[in-house]
Amino acid sequence: MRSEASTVFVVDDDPSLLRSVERLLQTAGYHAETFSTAESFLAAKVATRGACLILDVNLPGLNGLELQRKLAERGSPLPVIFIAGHGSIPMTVRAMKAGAVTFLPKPFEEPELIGQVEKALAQSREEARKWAELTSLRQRHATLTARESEVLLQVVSGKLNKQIAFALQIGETTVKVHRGRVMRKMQAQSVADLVIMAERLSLSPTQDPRK
Amino acid sequence: MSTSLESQLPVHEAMRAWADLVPTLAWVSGCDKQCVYFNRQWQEFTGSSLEELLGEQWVKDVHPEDRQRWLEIYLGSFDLRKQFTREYRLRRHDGQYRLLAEAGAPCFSADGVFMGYTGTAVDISDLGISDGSVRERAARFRALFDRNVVPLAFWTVDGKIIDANKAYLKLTGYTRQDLRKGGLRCDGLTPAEYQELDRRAITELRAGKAAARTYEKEYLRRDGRRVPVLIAGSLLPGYLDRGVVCALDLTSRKKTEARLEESRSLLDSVFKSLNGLVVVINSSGQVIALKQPQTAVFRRKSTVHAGVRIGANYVEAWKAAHLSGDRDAGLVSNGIAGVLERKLPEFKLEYSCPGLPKPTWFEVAVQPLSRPEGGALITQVDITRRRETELEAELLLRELAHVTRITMLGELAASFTHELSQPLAAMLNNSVVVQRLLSKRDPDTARLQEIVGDIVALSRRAKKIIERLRKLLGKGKAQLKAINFNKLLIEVVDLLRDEAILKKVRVVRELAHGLPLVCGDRIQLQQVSLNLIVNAFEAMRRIPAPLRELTIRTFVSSHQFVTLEVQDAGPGIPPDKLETVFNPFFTTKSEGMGMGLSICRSIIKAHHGEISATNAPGGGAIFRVVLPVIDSTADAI
Repeated sequence: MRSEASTVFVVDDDPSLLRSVERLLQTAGYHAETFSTAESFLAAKVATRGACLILDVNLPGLNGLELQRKLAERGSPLPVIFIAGHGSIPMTVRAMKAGAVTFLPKPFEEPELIGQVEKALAQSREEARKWAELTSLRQRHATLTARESEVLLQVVSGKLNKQIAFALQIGETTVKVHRGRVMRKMQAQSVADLVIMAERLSLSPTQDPRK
Repeated sequence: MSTSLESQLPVHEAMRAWADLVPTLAWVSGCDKQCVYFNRQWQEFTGSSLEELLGEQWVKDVHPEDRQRWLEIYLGSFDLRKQFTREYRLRRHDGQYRLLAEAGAPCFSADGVFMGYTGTAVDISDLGISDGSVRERAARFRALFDRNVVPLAFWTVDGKIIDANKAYLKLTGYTRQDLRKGGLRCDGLTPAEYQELDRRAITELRAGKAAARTYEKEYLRRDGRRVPVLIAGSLLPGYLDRGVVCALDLTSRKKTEARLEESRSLLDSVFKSLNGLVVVINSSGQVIALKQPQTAVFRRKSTVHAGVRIGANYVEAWKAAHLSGDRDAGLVSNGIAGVLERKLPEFKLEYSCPGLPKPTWFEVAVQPLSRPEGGALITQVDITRRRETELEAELLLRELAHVTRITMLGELAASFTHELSQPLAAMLNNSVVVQRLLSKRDPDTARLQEIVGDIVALSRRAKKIIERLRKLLGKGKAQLKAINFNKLLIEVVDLLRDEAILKKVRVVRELAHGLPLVCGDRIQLQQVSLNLIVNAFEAMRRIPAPLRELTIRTFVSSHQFVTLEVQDAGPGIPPDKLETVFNPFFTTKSEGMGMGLSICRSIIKAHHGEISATNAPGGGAIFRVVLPVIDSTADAI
């Protein structure tokens, strides 16, 4: 399951600790990239897909929690493992609520760190997979015509062909044609499949996502 | 008188006729000494008619000061039928007194019967100097008398003051008018208890026992106050019934005497009341005065105090004590010698006396005697009590400082554990890496070297943190040492590094180069710095993070003082609280005890320094600690 090329980013203001974590990760076979401040990490604009971040909570300037929030605002899926010399309970709660993988107090044991890194990387990979899936789904959805989109919304809201024809003021045969095209374009095997896809795309009957 | 005038009419007619013939002022008197005629010149001179002049009337024209003497001469000569001359002042019609020279002579009838006196008088007021010796003498006398600063007066046996100068009037509080009205009298001026003294003096003078009598008495002033005076009295030459008195005001002398007496008795009582041993020695060290206290500590044989007696050499006694092993005694004997030789302005030493069952402290103070022949005053006071109290207070402060330190460090525990966890985490990581590397078949020794080097450095870092914390947490004996304040501050700031990051405070150091050393207890001074910095963090809790800046500043405020300033960027301290912040139990924190700053002040005071709070002109509070330097030679950081 281990992916040899996985990148682990480390942000800590203590150079000797940073160096030791880097060594640890290298020894465990990861590619480590270190930063001494949150600002320098943000400025580097690294590719975060499939990677994870080991982040010190207490950093001068922008601190760990603030960096986590900034990343979330950018929509980055980068999983974060917090490390802290002393973590207060409120601080831990905030970090976990914001989606942190874990909160490790310093000093930590190597297996624990590696275990969490693995978990984070798996999460990251899963995120990447989901993201790829969603992207392709969006791309498929984008190929639908306006009328096909309308039919899709009617179908996923459970309406019969006759009802759809009435609602859209078109013939029932025309509805059937549109419906077949939607199923093919969206690569859906069944109406149930289509419903799941619509949910992933956050479509609701009352609104058209393309508007 | 008119009867006698008629009975002896013929003769008197002749005398009257004579009087009208002479070109000067002239008068005629009868056998009964009464004046019977004043000639025309006289009448014109005085501006009075004969009727006005006869009887006693004319006497009024004679100057009051001259009247008595005038009469005496006249009466004295009359009975002896002698000629006389006299000088006196007579009032002219214009009110001006003129000096007259008068000659009087008895008149006899052809058959030798005494008929009375005739007199002629010449106005000599305007005569030149050669002829005006009398007048000049009178003027000189007057000036001498009136302007004399010595109070002078003329008196008569019957108690009248007939003349007095300004000084005398000032002394007695009477006016010239009182004098003229006869209100100034010897008996009125003299309190009852001195009257006898006066009488005796006059009696002695009259009996010719003394030419002058000098004695002290008091004058009763017109306002009722008493003035001490020195009286010098004598009779006027040639008179038994009048004299002159000179009265010297003794008030200031009496006051000085009283003050002298007072200070003497004060000194005496101070000397006697000193609750210690007081020794006065001459320049060679011999005891010339001594006050030995009754308390037991001074009478013990083992102490240097027991052997002291008048005539003994005190410096030698201390030297002997030094030779027998009392280290401090050597300092004292040198100190006394130094003061005696005027090499030292004074000498003071607190010393513990050996050979006593319980620790006993004395303060010996040596003061030079300010007199040409030199010498010194040595006092020794038992200060054991004070010393004990001081030690107790010191102990108490240390305890209290310790407790507050522990409390403060407790609040900072999280930060400190982070400080410590940092190197520990790094060490652990590195050690694991080393393990992994060693388990490989061909370990990279260069890399191992590097990592182990890091581990060693990290262990030292952790050790240093633990040592600092242990010192701060420990009770620690107060140890006075020469301290580089900059170094001490850097250590404190290091300890608080994580706390500063957590509180998002930027710490700016403005430490002066070559700061002189201060003398103090390292831990207590660290506590003060720690407290001020933590307070500054706290003060900036509510302002936006980018503005949170703490400045730690040191500088030399003068040659003798080093100043530390801790300045925050918070809201500052309300002006009315600038003083009270140092009071015990003053706090703005809900969980704080409010002892921090109070302890800081006690610590700084114990270091002979000062701590104060002010607000910076641009906002924020400044806490300032000023400590005396121990050495003017600078020490680089």
